[in-house]
Amino acid sequence: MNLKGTLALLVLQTLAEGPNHGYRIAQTIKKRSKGVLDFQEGALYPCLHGLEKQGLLESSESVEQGRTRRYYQLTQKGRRELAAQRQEWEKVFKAVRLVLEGSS
Amino acid sequence: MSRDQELDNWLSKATAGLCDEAKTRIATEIESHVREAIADLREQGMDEADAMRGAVAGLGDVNKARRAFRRIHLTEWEASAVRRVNEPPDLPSPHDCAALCLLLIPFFLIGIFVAIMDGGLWSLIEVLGVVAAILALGVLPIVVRRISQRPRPKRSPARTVLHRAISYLGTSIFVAIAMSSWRPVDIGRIVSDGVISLFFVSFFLFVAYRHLRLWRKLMRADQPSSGMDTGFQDGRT
Repeated sequence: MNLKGTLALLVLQTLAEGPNHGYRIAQTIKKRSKGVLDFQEGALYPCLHGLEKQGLLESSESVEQGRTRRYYQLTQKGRRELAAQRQEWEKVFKAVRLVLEGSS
Repeated sequence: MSRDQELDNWLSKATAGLCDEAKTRIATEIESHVREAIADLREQGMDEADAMRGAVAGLGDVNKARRAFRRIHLTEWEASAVRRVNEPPDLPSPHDCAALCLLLIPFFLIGIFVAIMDGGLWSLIEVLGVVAAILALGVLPIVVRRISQRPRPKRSPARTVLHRAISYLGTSIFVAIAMSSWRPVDIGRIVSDGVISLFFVSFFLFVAYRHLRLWRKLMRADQPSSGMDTGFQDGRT
């Protein structure tokens, strides 16, 4: 199944609810999808760094209980991109459903 | 393998060839990620060693991660190329150029003497041409330095890198054309000149390719995020 671009959308959606760090973002996606969207956690960081370079996210480091965590949050550009990607995803989702319903 | 060795091994493979800044950032984030994962797995009742193995395994294929990081972050060479773009041009001073010219004068004199002794007018013209070229090489940096000291419109690193790529590409084409028009009669010269020209053309093409790759990476930062590799495992959704 071609899932290109989906992780970026899920990350943006997760961060729309507030700033978070990489591990919690990964756990939130896995938990909400009930483990169906099981991805390699090492792939999350290139995605986060890429989104940050595009100006969709911004990040800051903080030290909590001796652990250094980098928190990511959405920028205004990121919110606009999320809205655009959601719209596109819903359009594709509806189209796929129409095709599947037609075949049954 | 000890717990830290396992993580260090993953990190060194995933960040191989990247610039120091990227290495530090990735290492800090992945280490923090693994510590969080270990804490969660320990809460679920796993022992320390199994939790560590599980946390590192959860990061997934290190080669895929390395390729993904290299698409986003600058390599050592790319970082130094961007630094060079931002720094003022490092050209020889007028004193260096004068010293170079003085150093070369004895060779010019010998060349002219040999040409006159041979009695050929053509060889004299050739020697004078070489003298003019080398003097130009000595004087050119002074002229460039003067021009470069003038205030210039600021260009983005991506644009400068693209200009460099095009100029290297142009140089390789120029060398290829120049060498292909050269028709030595001696078979030995044909082979040696062919090897030399092939070397120079390959070198300039390689440098042009590296600059083009860096330009694409710098440009990618401005593109929308769709099309990024997700890392989702096939068949799991």
